Amino acid sequence: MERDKLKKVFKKIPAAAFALLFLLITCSLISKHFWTTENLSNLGLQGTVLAILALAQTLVILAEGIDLSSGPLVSLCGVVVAVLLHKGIGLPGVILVSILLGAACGSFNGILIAKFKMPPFVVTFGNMGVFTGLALVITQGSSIPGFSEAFRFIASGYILGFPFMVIILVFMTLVTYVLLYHTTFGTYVFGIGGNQEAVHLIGVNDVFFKSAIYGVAGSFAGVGALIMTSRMNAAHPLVGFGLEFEAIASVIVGGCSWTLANGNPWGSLIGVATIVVLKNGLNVLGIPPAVQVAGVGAFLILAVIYDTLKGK
Amino acid sequence: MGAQFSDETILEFKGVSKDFPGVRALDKVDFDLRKGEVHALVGENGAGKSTLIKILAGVYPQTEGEIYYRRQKVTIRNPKDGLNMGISVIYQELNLVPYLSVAKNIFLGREPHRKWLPFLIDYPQLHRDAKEILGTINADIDTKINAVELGVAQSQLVEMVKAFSFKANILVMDEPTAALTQKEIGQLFRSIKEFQKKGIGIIYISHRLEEIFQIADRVTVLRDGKIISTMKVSEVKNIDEIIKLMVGRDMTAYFSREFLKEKGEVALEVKNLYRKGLLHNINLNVKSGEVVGLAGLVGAGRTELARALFGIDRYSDGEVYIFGKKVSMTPAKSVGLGVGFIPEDRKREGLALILPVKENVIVASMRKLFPHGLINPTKTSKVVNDYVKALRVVTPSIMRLVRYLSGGNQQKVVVAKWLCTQAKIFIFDEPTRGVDVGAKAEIHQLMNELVKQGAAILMISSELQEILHMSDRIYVMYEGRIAKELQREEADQVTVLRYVMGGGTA
Amino acid sequence: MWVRQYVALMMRLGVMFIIAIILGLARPEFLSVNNIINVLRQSSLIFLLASGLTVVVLSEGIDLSVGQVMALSACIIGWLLKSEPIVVAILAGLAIGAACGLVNGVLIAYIGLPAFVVTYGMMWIAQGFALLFMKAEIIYGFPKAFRFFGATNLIGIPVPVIFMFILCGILYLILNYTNFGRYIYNVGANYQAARFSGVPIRKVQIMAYTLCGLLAAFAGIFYISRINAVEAGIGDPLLLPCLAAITIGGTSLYGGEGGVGGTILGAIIMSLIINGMNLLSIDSYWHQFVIGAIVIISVWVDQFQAKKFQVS
Repeated sequence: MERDKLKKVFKKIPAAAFALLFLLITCSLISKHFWTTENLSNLGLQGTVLAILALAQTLVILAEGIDLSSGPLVSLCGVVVAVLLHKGIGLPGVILVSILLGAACGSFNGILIAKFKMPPFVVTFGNMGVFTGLALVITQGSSIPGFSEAFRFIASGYILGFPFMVIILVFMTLVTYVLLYHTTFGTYVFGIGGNQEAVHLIGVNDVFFKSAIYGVAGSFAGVGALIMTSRMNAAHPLVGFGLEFEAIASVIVGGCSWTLANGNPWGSLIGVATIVVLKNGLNVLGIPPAVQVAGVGAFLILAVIYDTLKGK
Repeated sequence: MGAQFSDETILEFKGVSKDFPGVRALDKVDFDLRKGEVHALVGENGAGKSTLIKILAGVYPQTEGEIYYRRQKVTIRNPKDGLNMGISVIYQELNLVPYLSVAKNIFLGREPHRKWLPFLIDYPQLHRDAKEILGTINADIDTKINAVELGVAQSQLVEMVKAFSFKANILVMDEPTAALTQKEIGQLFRSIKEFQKKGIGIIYISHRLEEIFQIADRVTVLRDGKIISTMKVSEVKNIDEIIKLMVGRDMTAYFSREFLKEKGEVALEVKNLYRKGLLHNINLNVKSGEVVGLAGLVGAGRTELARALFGIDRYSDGEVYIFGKKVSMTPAKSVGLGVGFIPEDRKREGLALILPVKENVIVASMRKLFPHGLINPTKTSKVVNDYVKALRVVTPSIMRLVRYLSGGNQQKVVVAKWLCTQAKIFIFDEPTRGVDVGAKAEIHQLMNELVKQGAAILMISSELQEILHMSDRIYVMYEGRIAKELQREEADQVTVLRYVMGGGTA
Repeated sequence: MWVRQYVALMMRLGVMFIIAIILGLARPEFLSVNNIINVLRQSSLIFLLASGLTVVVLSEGIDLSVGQVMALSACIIGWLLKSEPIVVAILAGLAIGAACGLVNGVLIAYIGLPAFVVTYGMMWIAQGFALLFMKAEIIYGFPKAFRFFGATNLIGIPVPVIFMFILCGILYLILNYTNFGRYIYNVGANYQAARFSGVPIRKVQIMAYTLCGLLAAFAGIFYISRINAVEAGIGDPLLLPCLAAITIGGTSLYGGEGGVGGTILGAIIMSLIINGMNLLSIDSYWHQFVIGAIVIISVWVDQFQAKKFQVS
């Protein structure tokens, strides 16, 4: 009886947790600098934007969808933010615009998917190009640098010793948690992912909510864009490239099954941590950043193998 | 049978018709439902039952005619309208959300909220409400577990309760007992009686005519979109009377079988088969020229056995012999050895719906017909056309996508696929489920023909009549074991049912 | 009905001509022989890479690594061309491509990992290896005989274009007149049903992915032969146009529908549009946007068509 209980708990822990543990141990052994505040805060910074995107992606994947456009959306929002800042628009306005633009673009995805019943993969894949293209057009391919102290506070400021970015992340995590588990909206997320027909038959406007889910995901990208642009103190049209894939990878590594709506935000965050630590470890080993991604890829596959075999 | 209805009519269809492009699905239907009654609705597939239900549910409107709900003329514009009016439908395909709790599934979207923060769900209240409503039908289900962990019977009860939670006055149940054990059916019927006491009118659709006598107060027979008859169940003599009305012809020739005196060699033999937790010490055989029926409750292990035989699932111990040769199977090998498997769920496991009839029929035979890998299209067309004709598959051409065929014809395509492989051993899993009576007879006739030509058939069926009428021998499975082997002569309803239910396992 | 397939193809053929006519009216130089040949050449490069991917997509798979596998093989070929006979270099490149495809196939078919994740991981791994191998250098200047593939014309038609039609023809025959080809469609249409019908699904899938990798490497030959240079990043911008060609061409990402005929049309349409944009002096930054928008529109149209033929 006790063994069964243990087994049940064991099964609930995603592969990523063990992988993370393994990686943390390995990294500690490889580099004595690993546990320094400097390194850890570095990791935290790297992971923050990714984590926010992963939370957004969790919502979308739970609703049986996928969003391949969130990386480019971060770029687009960042670029728009930069332009507005240079035109003299104040901070609150800029923040609002970024979030709303993200929500609008996300809703665009959502409407095509929910109302016109187009496959999410294709729609968001196409919009990947649309958003990147728009960002490129606005900036003509170059980056927009140089922002005010106030704006840079978002990414580099500290409140009571904690990086403001991380506080934002904690807040976003809270929002995700409450949304998913304590509101009717969350029920609809699981419902649409688990059995959209059931939700429809009850008379709920499933099309609206499905679009809204993508809209919310888009707004998260808007938040991520603010942090990203602030941290780099510049906006570049291709800055978000690849982020959506890492976000998706985080969610999957974090235990959310591809076809079932059974993920949760914690698993996704563990997934993010795993990937960030992995990249850092590879970095320490002197592997150039561009090649690190190969390691991430290999690791992702290993993690999924583990999860799949465990399922069998 | 508790006729606990007052004569108050809560629903009335007057002259309701429904047209679709090219077909009149309902033709001037008059139908009524009384408070607290269970009114059974029977008819072949395509008779119009689901059309009637969908109109009632608000999925689409009628083309002509009027609907009166509680003596008032109404228009049901969409499912939400129907729900708000108090009409709840429980479909065959259960509509629960797997990773939400039972409580959330019941109140999907209608969770109670906290007073001080109107968008936060009030969990304690939610579970209290859920427990309360489950209590009204004495269902003992943990409201906190996710729906995915429920068994079929429990899921059904949750669905019922969900429908009831909409303050329904009318409950429509579509094939509710399809996947339930006898015990669970008993509980279901008890729950239905509870609903009756509350004055809820229930429309009960089922292919299982025996159940009608157990649970229904009145029965209405539909055929070709028309109401043939509405009768009090107490005035119906037997099932045959109803069947006659459903089909419009004498159905005593419903099942046709010519039993061969001489059987051939042992085609399929299973010795000491074990599959951890599912199958125990299975020993059976099927000879050429006979139909062996495999009876049992849902969950007794019949489909698991079939899948193990065909090579879809692995077994942990034991041997399988095909024509005397010991084999270890994979589906590809089974096909090569001349075994064909017609699965329970033909849409998910038996057919590629978006491909044409031609592809579906030829797919299992390609290796045999074209051993070098190059296809000869003329030969393919000829072969497929031959089988389509032989089985009388109704389709304008072999290039028609299978998804557009009726259930019965789809099943025929699956059978054609195996005939095409020149299979000698057939495993049918619920061969006539979801198939109308006419096509049913055709499929039985087909099985008869196959056996006459020397095939060996293992037939899994949950319909007692089918087992009794079609089998040369019957194996009854119970909880993963072979409970009993019966010859045709010693098998009758009572005996078989007894073993099916577990009695007699000494 | 198969009618729907033909109608879909005819529609695309029609779209192709309409675009061509419009461009011809807007810019007469579009209709010059030189330009038409240009368009065809560009579409051939897209098609060659997208051809293998079409086969994989038909079996309801996906291979996100095609671009990077092509880059990796191309780098190997380029490097070997310095010292080895052309035949050896080419064979080595093809072998690498096939090997990557094989790894993909085995992970997906035997271990059962989701294709999206595996090929995404492979994408990064291949890129990593390519970068490691090339050390950020560019190799240029290939032997004249090698330049036959990308830079010469036969009877006035560029060699890649000729190969495009030949390859299309071969793949068409394979997909429609061999067991393997029909198995691909069956697996894509319904994996379980195919399995229960005795189709050797694992073998089929592995072959599909290996073929895809092989053809990716094959495409690489023409690519680097044309530009007479190779570096690790040549695969980066290629995935979007390839998927675009496939979706524009009417092949469903859910498998079982479509074919190489559609992909060729898709590639030509893509190329027409890019060419047109250049002629109309449209900012090259708009290209991504347009390609993305096109993908979305073409899938939307397809969806629309599907509704027309649906029986209620």
